Amino acid sequence: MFLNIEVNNQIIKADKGETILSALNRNGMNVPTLCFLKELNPTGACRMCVVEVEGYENLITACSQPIEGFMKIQTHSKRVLNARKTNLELLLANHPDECLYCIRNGSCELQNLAQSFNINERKFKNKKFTLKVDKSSAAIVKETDKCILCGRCIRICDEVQDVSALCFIKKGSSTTVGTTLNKPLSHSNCILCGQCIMVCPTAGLHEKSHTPQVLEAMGNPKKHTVIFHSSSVSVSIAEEFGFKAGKDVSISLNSTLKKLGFNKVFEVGVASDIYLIELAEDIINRTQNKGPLPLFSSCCPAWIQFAEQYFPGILTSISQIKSPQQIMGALIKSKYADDLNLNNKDIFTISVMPCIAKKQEAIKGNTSISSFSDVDCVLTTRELASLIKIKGFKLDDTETQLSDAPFVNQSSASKLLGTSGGLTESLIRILHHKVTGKDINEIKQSKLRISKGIKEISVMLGETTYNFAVVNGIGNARKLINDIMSGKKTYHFVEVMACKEGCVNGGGQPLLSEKDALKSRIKAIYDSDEKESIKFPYKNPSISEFYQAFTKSGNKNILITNYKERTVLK
Amino acid sequence: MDNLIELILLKYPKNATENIIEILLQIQEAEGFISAQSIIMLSEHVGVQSSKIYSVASFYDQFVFEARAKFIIRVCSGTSCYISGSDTIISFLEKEFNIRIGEITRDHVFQIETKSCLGACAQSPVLEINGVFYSNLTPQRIRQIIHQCKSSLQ
Ligand code: SF4
Ligand code: SF4
Ligand code: FES
Ligand code: FES
Repeated sequence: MFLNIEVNNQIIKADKGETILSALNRNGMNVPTLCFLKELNPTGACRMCVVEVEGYENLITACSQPIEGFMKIQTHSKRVLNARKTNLELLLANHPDECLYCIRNGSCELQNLAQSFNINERKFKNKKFTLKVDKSSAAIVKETDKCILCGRCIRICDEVQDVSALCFIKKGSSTTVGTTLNKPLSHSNCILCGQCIMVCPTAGLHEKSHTPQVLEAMGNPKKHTVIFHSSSVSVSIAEEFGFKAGKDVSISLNSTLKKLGFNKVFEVGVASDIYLIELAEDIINRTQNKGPLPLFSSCCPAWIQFAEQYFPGILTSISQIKSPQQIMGALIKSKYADDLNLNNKDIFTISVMPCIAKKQEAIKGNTSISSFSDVDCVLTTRELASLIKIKGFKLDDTETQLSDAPFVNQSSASKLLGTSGGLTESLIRILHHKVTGKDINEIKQSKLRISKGIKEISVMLGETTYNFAVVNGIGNARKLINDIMSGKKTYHFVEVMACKEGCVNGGGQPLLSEKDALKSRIKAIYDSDEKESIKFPYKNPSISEFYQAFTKSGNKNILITNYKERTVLK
Repeated sequence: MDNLIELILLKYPKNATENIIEILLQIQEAEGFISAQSIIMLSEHVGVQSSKIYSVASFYDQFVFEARAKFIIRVCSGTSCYISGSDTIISFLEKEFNIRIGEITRDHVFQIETKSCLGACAQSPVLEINGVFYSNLTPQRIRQIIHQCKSSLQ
């Protein structure tokens, strides 16, 4: 039901029951927010969003106050502005003046607010900074002093991911955000999805940078540097260079990276194609040999970590096929190294991913069957953008270049792995071909392209109906797995991605992105599936040679990984 | 000690969150502190993630998360006491219990800490055990005190 409210002497329409903030935003009006997170329960913790409402003695937090009847609101009165400014100054009282040396310099919500409130002197100084930094995790750095206690990380980790690795510790002025018993992150139940980083307004939580190692390798003439990037990166990195969201720059990125000085530039798609083909085979084998079913996807390392911690009983149901990142690294350090007569110790592989858990996957991979590390470094989308700037370049969208030989081509299906549902859609294309010998007519699975936490689809292939489930957001995954374990649901295959909507929304993606950026990125991925000519992984000419080699040696070991139960405080 | 916690938990319904603080108090009473193991068991019992249990517990100052000894010996390390030989007292205690400052004996009976000026400089060197002051210390006297502590346990 709509009703009228008055804001700054202007009548606007509001939905009964919605918050003041939501009504304001829908009408193109803004108030600053810090602790507020769309789709999560408001806590009213930061009080940046306060407004003056006639009839109320105190200022009201717009993010949490529902509209029940007519209201007369002032969003920028003198009283409101003063209150917000004082709030901000009090927040800053506990914040070190470290902007110049801070990873979020230029992309910090606190800095932006300080700027917009014209704050140019320190009013209060409360505490001594401890400069305590938790670097224990393979992918996440926690800087206690930069935390403003907005609680966004705690809420996303609890309400969306249902991991709840983080909590408020103690109270009053000693409050901090940390893990159970204040253990280092590496000893906690964190699965490294990085969603907390995405919502952190400051540098309280950020990724562990691999940029120094990459610069080091690039400057070492003995190192043959090979970089490869994923489709989720190429549809989002342009945002870091001021382009509108949804611009796919895969081929321009190739040419930019070549200019930066990498010896070889690839797209990870060729490895994704191999991954998809192997996974399809795994499904068929398990279906014919009676299990264990369902088969779970293995491409998301945060999901793997989650299973290792919470569902050790299903580890044998997760495909042992390495993720595309690890396959790519393995291919480069074996087949490619042999072809070029390079010692794999001299090759330095850099993977560019939308994901921070991939940093840990690269390290975990070191202990796998092979004697070398498949992937030496993982850069996030953000880190690659900054590396390009460090090297004095920008993203030039006028120049284009294909991936280097021998990995020139990838199917458009391989690119769909960036979205939730895309992996399954691509698998169906391959399964159809494997079972019927023919290309599928309708390549698009619209049921899988909608934005939803859990999606299901059944497809008749030959005599068998295959049932698929697609889940994104690890909280949803927990629900689905419980249903599967209790026998409520049965599937042949389950695709799991820890991040909501999939890797395009990963923990390494651009921060503070424009409204609807995510939708535009997803659209860009589906558009390229529409436009590109190779739509089926099995038609990718770049992989046929590898398959010949594999079949000859009969050795697919480099494509295999394994999983171990992990005990943590959960 | 897991049994102790189990016994406590058995008294409370499963998946009910309203008793968390009461249970924590009982665990601390029984064990002297809230261990990682007890947090895990409590968290499974009431069906709440461990971080939320810890968050609640850390809110209250009375909960401690490390083993505490029966007797916490705080040796004054203020200037007066230092001059009158607090460091010999500390090394005496360290030898006696075979632990270092801040540590706790294996049987959880003794723990040594230091504290700056306890406010009894005239009678230095001094130490405090669970709130009781002992002054004008000498090794013999300390031996006596330790003996007293031990026999009070029997
Ligand atoms: S990385 Fe994910 S699981 Fe770990 S603390 Fe952040 S949100 Fe929670
Ligand atoms: S969904 Fe993608 S981006 Fe998110 S953790 Fe998994 S692999 Fe990384
Ligand atoms: S945004 Fe409303 S109180 Fe923080
Ligand atoms: S210095 Fe020890 S009591 Fe004052």
